[in-house]
Amino acid sequence: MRDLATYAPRDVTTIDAAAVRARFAPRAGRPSSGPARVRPTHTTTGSTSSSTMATNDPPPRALILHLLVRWVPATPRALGS
Amino acid sequence: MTCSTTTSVPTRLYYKLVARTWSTASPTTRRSNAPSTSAPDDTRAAARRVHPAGQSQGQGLPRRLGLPEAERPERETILCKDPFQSHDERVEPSSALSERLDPYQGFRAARLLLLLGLAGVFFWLASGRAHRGGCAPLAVGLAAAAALAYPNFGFFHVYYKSPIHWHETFHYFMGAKYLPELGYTRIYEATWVAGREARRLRADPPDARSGHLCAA
Repeated sequence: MRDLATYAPRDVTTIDAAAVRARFAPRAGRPSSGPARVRPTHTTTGSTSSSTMATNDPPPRALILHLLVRWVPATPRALGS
Repeated sequence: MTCSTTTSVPTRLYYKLVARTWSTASPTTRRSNAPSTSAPDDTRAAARRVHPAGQSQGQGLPRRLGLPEAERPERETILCKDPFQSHDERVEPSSALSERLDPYQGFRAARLLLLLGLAGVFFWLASGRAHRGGCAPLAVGLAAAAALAYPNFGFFHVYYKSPIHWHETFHYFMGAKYLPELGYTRIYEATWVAGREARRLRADPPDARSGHLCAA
């Protein structure tokens, strides 16, 4: 997995799942979309893991998009499938 | 990268010599020239061991060198897709340029041609020799071509077979929706954790009556 902070490959065993989960504490008023309603249909594995398949939004655009989609449930339909 | 393999003159001469030897040799000589594991006693022994007349087609020789001379191509061009692959990933030669290009390389080539056309029109207009009546259709045509070039001339994302780029959509939607939690650098690790949890949930579906997870 690519570490976006250093842009270097990172072993997934170093991921602290509890810390990641703790950041997703329920926010007041946020609808719960359920944990398994969106599943990745295209996984990046093996030899393609070193190639960039997509890029993050620039922070200003991500902030604008956040205001638009923060209330939209993360469903397959929302992702276009 | 393109590699070129040519049936060289020494190879052709080698086959002519071998064919002449086999056509003039008597049956007794052919029997005596049967494949043998012993060391060659003359310079033609190695050639006799691998001659296609005594073996199945192509056996004992790499690629098409085992074919009779009449069936061998004079020149063969091999396209090496990736020279650093551990396995040989060669493809058959193709004469059409469009079949040699990756679809996205084709799109880039088409855009480059459009750009060259635009540069030509620019210099044509700059020279002052252009007629006013002929500019409007050309401008409309270039504008239409430019508009079509952006979505890859209507093919969109060829490998996804969809107008939607799934990886980008995932970044744009999930990264924006969970921006306070993910920031700019944590989308991959969160996706990995979520994927593991989703897989675990699929393996242990929630109990229909209680709505809780079943015991593992």
